[in-house]
Amino acid sequence: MSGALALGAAVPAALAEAPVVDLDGQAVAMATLWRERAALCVFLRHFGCIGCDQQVSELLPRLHELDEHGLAVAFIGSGDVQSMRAFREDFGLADKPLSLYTDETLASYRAAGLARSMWGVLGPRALGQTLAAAGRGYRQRSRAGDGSQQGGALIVDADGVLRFYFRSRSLGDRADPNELVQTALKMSLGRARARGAYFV
Amino acid sequence: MEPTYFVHGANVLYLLSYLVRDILWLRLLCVTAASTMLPYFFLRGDRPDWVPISWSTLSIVINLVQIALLFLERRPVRLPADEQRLYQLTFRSLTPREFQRLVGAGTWRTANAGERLIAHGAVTDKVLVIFEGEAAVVLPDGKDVAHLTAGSFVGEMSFLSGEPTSANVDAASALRYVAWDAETLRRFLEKHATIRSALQLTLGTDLAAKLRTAR
Repeated sequence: MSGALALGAAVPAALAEAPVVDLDGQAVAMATLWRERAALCVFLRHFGCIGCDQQVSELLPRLHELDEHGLAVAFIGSGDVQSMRAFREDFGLADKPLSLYTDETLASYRAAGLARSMWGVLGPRALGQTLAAAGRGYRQRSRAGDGSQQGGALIVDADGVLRFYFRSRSLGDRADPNELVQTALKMSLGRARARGAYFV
Repeated sequence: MEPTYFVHGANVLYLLSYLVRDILWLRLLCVTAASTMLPYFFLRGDRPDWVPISWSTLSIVINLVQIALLFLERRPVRLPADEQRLYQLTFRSLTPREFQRLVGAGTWRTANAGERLIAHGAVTDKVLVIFEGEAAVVLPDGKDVAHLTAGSFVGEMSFLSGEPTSANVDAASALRYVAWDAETLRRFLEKHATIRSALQLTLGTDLAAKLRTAR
């Protein structure tokens, strides 16, 4: 799979240095997301995407678990700052333990090795996923970002090492929240073990 | 009776089935509607019309099987007293039925005081939850570092991380517990995603409490 990142290795400098823009319109390097604590970076497609609605809705109930196990959570989209703010309002994210960023240049997406393909939006697999998501009540809003860009999810520890990597092939592919929590639990246990806590 | 009355009756039932939101009622109405149509296919000509009769019968059978499964799924769960107590103690993030399945994948066991439950230095091949009694976490140098009581998990750290244990766990009193073979539990959780999420929440809460106090 071209561009995919290697688990257990430091994330490439291009990703660590890629700029993303916060809600105030300030650009920050991706590495600031995991500087103080490990971070789960969820790359959404565009802010109005039905697959992103599903991914975010599945993750919201697990945010406190992820936080409890030491992960900072960041959602990254590809629309402008206004659409990011609207997304935050739509999902009621203001009081949730997460941060929002956007990257209209897609530099962070490219550095993370994520796919960009119209087939992943219009192909039969994507169509099936769209229908399945719509059947479960998720909805497509107006496009707010790059329509071809696919999403993904990364967990990077505070040393900049990649611990989890998921790369979407089409719009409905999304990281399994159980796998994300499992990785967070493992990392939390690893830190406890390193501190010398008993381990049974 | 005019055979067309059966068609009207069946279609009224079909229309009703489109109005209900509960899948059980929808299936029950569909079965009733399809059954109501059957006499029409028998009576409308000189001979029974076997093609629609066969298809209708097949749809009735499929729906009846699904109805039976729904009834089984929805029947109330009555947990035995010990399971009910364990559920209240530790597993409230699961539904009673999920809990019943989870406990069914494990075994109830007992241990005498002093019996070793988990040995240090190996990836544990079992996970257990204490129902009654107390277990001691003892470092290889003999230092007693923690006591685990009813509702606590044992072996879950090694199970979750795949890393070897760093301490022994011994029964500090007569003990009753539920044990799961690690591999069986892993396979079970792979098949049951919702139980896995709920158990992750339970284990995570248990772990966070242990890690806060463990030094």
